[in-house]
Amino acid sequence: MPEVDEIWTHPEPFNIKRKCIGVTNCSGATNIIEGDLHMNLTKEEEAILRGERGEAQKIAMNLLVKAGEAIEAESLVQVCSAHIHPAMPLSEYPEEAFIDVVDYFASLGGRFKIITTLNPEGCDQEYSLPVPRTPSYLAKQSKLTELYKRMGAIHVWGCIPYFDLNVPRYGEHVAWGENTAAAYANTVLGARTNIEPFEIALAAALTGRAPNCGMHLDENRRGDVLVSIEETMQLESATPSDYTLLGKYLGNKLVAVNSKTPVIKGIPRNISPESMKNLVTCMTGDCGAPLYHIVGITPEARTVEEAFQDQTPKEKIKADPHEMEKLRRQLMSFSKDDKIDIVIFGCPHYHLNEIKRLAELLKGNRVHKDTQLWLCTNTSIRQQAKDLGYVDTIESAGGKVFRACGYMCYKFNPELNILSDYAFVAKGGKTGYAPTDTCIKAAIEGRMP
Amino acid sequence: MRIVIKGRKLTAGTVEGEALVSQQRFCFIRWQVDPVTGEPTHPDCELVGKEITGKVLVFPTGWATTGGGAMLLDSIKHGTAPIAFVNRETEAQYVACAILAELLYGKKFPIVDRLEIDPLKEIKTGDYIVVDGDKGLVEVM
Repeated sequence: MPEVDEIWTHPEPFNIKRKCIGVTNCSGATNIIEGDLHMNLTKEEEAILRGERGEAQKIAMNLLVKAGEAIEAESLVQVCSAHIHPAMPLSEYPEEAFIDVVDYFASLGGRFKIITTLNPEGCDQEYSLPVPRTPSYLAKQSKLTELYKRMGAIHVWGCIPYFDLNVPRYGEHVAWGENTAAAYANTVLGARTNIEPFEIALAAALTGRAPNCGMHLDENRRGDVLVSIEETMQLESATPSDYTLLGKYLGNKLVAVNSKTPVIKGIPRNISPESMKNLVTCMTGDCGAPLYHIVGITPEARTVEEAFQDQTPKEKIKADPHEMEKLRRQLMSFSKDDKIDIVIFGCPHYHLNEIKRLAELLKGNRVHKDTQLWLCTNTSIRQQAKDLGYVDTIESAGGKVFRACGYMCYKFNPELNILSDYAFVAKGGKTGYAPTDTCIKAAIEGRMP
Repeated sequence: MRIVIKGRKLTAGTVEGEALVSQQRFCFIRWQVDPVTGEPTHPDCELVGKEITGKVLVFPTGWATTGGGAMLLDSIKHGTAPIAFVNRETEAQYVACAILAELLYGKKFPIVDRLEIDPLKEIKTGDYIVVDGDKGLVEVM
């Protein structure tokens, strides 16, 4: 396999059809609220809207009120934390509008009022990898990082903020953007959030408010479809990697019955934190629901009846172990001895327990010279893993531990054979799924075992 | 025949142009709209390969995404976006994005939804229409 920086082909530069007009002063803008509102605001919210708390909050409040009115929010809700996606440039194109938006609020003096974490960066700035980036991409990334820093974001840079510095309590309202993180906050922590688009999450971080609708309201959190997991699934012995497959399988099943708030019965109460993360993340990847009632685990779903708020399920379905095995075979798309170019761990980001297990499996081994082993996690977990010696074990075996987005790893070269222990992004074909120990064997031998 | 349909005004501005109708839900991320050409590239998209630049895009609603609005804003900035949306039900991200388009780039992007008559039945691709986001009116020429 060629060196990674040789295989990355740069896309054509952006062909700008018309020149942009540039940032304008907001006075005189026709979308700024002046007249009557349909929404009920508190005195403080009105003061923000009048500009008494500065221009950045004023504009952010305008976005929340106008966008909130469109989706029938009757008021705003106070939120105690925000999580924003994207925190990485989304393309190699030189100018991106969303970075202008962050720049705009930062220049207006905007500062985050509540705990605010960010999704991963597009590449590890120390290595400038895993996906080799052009100088213009790196320049955009460092500009964006600086802007978020200036506004007061917490530097965890990951899709699993709920394991460290952004951990809302049961019943707390938050505004989280990353869909899988929002689903975890609703499902496992019992916090309340919609899957907030970039603009709303940013405005929420600046004002501490979000439109009060959707998942913030009791009636929208009622379960609709009941999924029973049969005992033959043998979840007691399932690994974190197995849970990614279960998540993908359930996600596919739930989207087929158009479930908005599924209720899942049969997940063991002693499920590990990393398995829980993998289950929720992979379900969300396919189903897209913001909340899954996992009976016995979700704080507001101690029983099936509680999850349905004492109403009858719209539909009842069963998870079938045979169907799941069929999906496993589909996703295990490589045959024995197929060459494996890259083995990827950490989409969603790896938990410390997963890094520990990987280090144990790799200890005393050497990654094949024609294969790369990449592991992605967030800043604080990587630091802990380094302190505990796991990073050294993995890197001295020839692997790399990145603070970057694992998902980007899959997208950068469609020609390569990529193997992962996460069913989340595996599609079959050139991106295959296998259990963690099989992935490690493939990395060591350079071929599918 | 010229008809005027009343709807809900979401963002300001008045524009006129050719309608491009998608009976399917529309999303800038899911349908992988190329910001250079202004064309959706995903094979499952009803409008795949059709240029959306400069059109009034008529579609039922979108999908909840975290970056769809940012992509529309990108297209507006670079002049490859539609000129207005007419929807059954518009999502929050596009409203926020239209407001930002005016503040940052001085470009108005009117959005009108909840029309008295279903726009997906009344408006055909190629119809010349006026979208008045200040009054919440859609005029089909």
